[in-house]
Amino acid sequence: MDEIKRTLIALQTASGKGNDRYLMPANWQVGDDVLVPQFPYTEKQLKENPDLKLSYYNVGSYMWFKKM
Amino acid sequence: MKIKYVLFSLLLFSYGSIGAQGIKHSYIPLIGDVAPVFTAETTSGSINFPGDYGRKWKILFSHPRDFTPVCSSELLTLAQMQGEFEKLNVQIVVVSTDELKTHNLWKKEMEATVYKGKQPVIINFPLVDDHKWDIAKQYGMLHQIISGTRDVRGVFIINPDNKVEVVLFYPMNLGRNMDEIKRVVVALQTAGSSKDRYLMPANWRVGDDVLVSKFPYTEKELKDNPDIKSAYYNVGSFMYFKKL
Repeated sequence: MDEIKRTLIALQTASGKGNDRYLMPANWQVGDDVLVPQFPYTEKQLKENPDLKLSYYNVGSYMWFKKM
Repeated sequence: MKIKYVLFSLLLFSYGSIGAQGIKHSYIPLIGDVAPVFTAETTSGSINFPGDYGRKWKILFSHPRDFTPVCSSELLTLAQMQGEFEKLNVQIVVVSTDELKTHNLWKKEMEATVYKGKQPVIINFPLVDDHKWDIAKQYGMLHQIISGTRDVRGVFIINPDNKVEVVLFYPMNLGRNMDEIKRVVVALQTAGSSKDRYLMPANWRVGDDVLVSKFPYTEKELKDNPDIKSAYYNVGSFMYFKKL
């Protein structure tokens, strides 16, 4: 039942707040960072808000994580 | 002219149905079914599944697409846990509808990726090429409303007799919990490890007590061996636990 609860929370977290949609990495548990489907910001957005960079990090070339 | 055209169409149609890759109907193997057999090209050469893996346990994992974020997190997690599954005598097999050359490129990339603070590992389980969807159909991995060409996240846990023990499907946006899958394998192996066959209570973890299917000893057995009482305890009238 722990796994079913984990799955439910993961699905609820994936649908995010507002328009955000997250992807949930393998073995995700509450509090862990989540994945975003594509590179998370444009050059322009970064110029307007340099702190944006601090909220995300990449693993290899195919995974962008958002810090939770 | 018309007749010729019809004949030609018929010929094409019959060629299509005979010559095209065999499997037409999609079917999800159910618990107790014999695992569907396939031969396919993989990153470890050609394999016959499940026959090549003898009396091992097998887990067949399907994923939607190589080089995507959730699938990458899953492959890296499985790679980091491959030694734990080997110790449990489990053969991991991974399949998607990508082609072999894509699998090889992705595998190479994953074998160079540091993930969750752990150094990269060489992946020693096969990634299966299923670009003709044969395996996807044999195992019911294409869930049409979501995708007609890409597998959902399927898990088939198959026992040494090549019978399906557990079937799981997770959606595209949610990575599977490989710790849970390992827990399930250990629980299945523990359940079958005794002549008595144990039952595994909810949320069972390694070291937890197990259930037995009926009152565990007779009056006579108790008289012969009074210690037997201390190995068991009941919860209410329907659960007899055996201490482990």
